[in-house]
Amino acid sequence: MLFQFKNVHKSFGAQKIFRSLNFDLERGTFSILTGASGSGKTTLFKMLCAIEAPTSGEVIFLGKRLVQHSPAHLKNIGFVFQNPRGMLDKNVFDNIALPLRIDGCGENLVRTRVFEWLDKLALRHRAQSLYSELSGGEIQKVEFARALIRKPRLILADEPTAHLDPIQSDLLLDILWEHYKDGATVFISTHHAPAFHHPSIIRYHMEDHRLRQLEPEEISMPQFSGSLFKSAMKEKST
Amino acid sequence: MSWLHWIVKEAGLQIAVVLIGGFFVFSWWVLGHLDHDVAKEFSEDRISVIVKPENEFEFRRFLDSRPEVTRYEFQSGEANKLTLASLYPELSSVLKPLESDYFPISALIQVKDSAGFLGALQSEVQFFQSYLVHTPPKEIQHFVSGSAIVFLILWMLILGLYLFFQVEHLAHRDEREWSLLKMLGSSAQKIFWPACYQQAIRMFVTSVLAVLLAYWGALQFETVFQWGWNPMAVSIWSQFFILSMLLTLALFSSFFLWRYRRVKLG
Repeated sequence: MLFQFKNVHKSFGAQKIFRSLNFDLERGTFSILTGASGSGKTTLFKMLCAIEAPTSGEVIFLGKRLVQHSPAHLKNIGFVFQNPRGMLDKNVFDNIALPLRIDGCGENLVRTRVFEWLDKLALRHRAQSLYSELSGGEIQKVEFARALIRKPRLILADEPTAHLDPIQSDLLLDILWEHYKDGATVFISTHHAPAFHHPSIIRYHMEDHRLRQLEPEEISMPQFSGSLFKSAMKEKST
Repeated sequence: MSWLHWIVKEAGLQIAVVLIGGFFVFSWWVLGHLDHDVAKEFSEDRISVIVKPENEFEFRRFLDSRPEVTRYEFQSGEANKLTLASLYPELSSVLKPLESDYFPISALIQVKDSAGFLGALQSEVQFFQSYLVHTPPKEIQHFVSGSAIVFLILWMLILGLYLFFQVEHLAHRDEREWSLLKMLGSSAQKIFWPACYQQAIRMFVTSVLAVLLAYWGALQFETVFQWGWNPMAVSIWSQFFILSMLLTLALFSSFFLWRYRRVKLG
């Protein structure tokens, strides 16, 4: 068990967000959490990332609270937040390279890995641009690259495709799927239900501050847009 | 008037650290003097005795026999005449022609236990004419050591306040970066050391200014009170520097770790 929400209550003043929330996130799964705005998705996500503490109950990550883990442990988690977190006065290259530099990687390796990601996300021409000069979609991609450049074992992404067009969204989702196939655990919280499905994907839905896992018959979206999703679908159909 | 606003806002506490630090070093220096010169001299009671000239030899024997006496010094009539003449130069023309017999022989005796010695002295009244007990200036010593402690506490408080606000200022300015680095699993040391170097340099400059202020104060003090002052010893300001740096490191690291723990991930 990777994450466990044990009888979690969360409220902001008089407003109750969660009451007795119990939820487990298994290792090696690809989970998508959907729900309307204001349904509590982001609060749940923030509790996963230990940004918000539960009013009562416990959120356990590998046996203890996330904040109790050593910094080295956090290196295995890739966080993608809805709002940009990058360093405004640094360029795109330095922002993406930051995790590798923290790990003490040599500059040659850093250059190779960063340019790999810049090419993958079609951002090479923006390598020297300041983070503060980027568009919303470009910022989203930089955030994404920075979170995934270490090949983390756990990826937590809140609205990772919010500022992207459908093609760019598919590209990022393909990359997440690639990581999942390599053994990473992926948890995405998103406002719009993705236009694809795969039997391996666990779907959660948040409605009126209640979380429930969707049954396969409730998921009626046969459309696959990302290339990997398409091939996964093909694999299944053959 | 923006520079005035800047001084009040940014440099106010730093100036306070310099001033209080300067006062602390200065009072430390004065205290050191009291401990090493004045108080040491008076650490044992001293008794001045006017000795009857005909009993000088017997009085010496009496002093040699007393276990309380650690040191004694006789001054002849001639020596006392010259001392008097040097203390009152305006009278020297009158004093110098006089015979030394007009002046008494005196003894300055240093004793470990003044009560015991005075008891014995009272039983030998034939040897002396009068005596005077010099007691150490304990009140001055208490006052100066009290001042040094008060300035030390004040200086530590101001230094603590200054470093606390510095950490808060850094956290407010760099919270985004701290949060990002924390999220990426960076150790706190990566942020701590660059910030700590900055504060250490500031405190070094502040300590230099405080020592200069204390040194200037000591020079002024020497001119006002013409006593046998020694210049400020290297040991005083070097100890102050070491104390200042260690305290800065200890306080800054405590405040930083406390603040860094409160920074949320991402």
